[in-house]
Amino acid sequence: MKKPVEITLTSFHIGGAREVVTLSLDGKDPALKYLSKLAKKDAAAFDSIHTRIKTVAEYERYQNLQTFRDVGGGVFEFKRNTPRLLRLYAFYDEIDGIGQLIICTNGGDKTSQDQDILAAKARKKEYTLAKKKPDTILNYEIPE
Amino acid sequence: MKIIIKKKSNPLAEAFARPLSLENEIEFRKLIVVEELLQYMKREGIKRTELAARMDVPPSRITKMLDGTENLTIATLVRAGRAVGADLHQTFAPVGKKVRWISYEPADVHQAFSAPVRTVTVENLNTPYTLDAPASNDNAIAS
Repeated sequence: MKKPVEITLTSFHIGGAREVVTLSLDGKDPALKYLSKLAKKDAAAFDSIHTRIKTVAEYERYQNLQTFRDVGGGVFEFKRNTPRLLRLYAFYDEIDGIGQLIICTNGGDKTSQDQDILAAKARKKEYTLAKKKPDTILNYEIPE
Repeated sequence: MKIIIKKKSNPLAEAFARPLSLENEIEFRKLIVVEELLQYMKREGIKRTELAARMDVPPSRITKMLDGTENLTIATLVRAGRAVGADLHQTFAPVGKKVRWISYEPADVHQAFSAPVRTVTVENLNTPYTLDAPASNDNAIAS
């Protein structure tokens, strides 16, 4: 029998309108890895992304495209150019019993932007297909 | 799809729970005030080009104004607000507290509820009621 797909959403911020989570598919969570590494290694860069995420989560649909740019396929890019070029990819979703979400897929810098956008779109597609399957397991991890 | 809720230690959530630095708090407030204007324009169906025309400035000025990085003056914000038919409102609250705004027609609210809004704080609302001494005769004031 085929093993059911396992999704893990790790919650790390609850804004005024949306909760922000990272997405793990089959044990891989590049957004969590990216943000955790930033938090440890580059406090200034982490703080700038923190500010952007906190702002976007205050609204059901954020309108400032210079901060949260639509890169197509329902994927958006948190954009920060100082102190260095940073990009974090995410998409909007809603899950019954959990609520309105911003789901972060992966991150990177300007040099890997094209590949990162493709990866974000692929992860969104994989997640959307998995969500439709009745045997999919969704682990929703909330902080202690 | 089966949802399993788990509680787990999360250093990233802990980092997000810490207050923003002063510099980032300034950036956050700049982004929020611009976003409030953009949200208002979205609700009212006003495009950026229309805002530029109403403020009598070139569209490039609006793009710069709305990117969220500019230190906009209160005068500019009030002018932009009036251009879309809105007034700017602002307040201060203790660090860490959440603030919610509501707008209403003064005529729709009874005088008893509209006048002392400034004095109604969460602390006031949480103050427990104290009861007077139990009534001992028919003339006592009912608590």
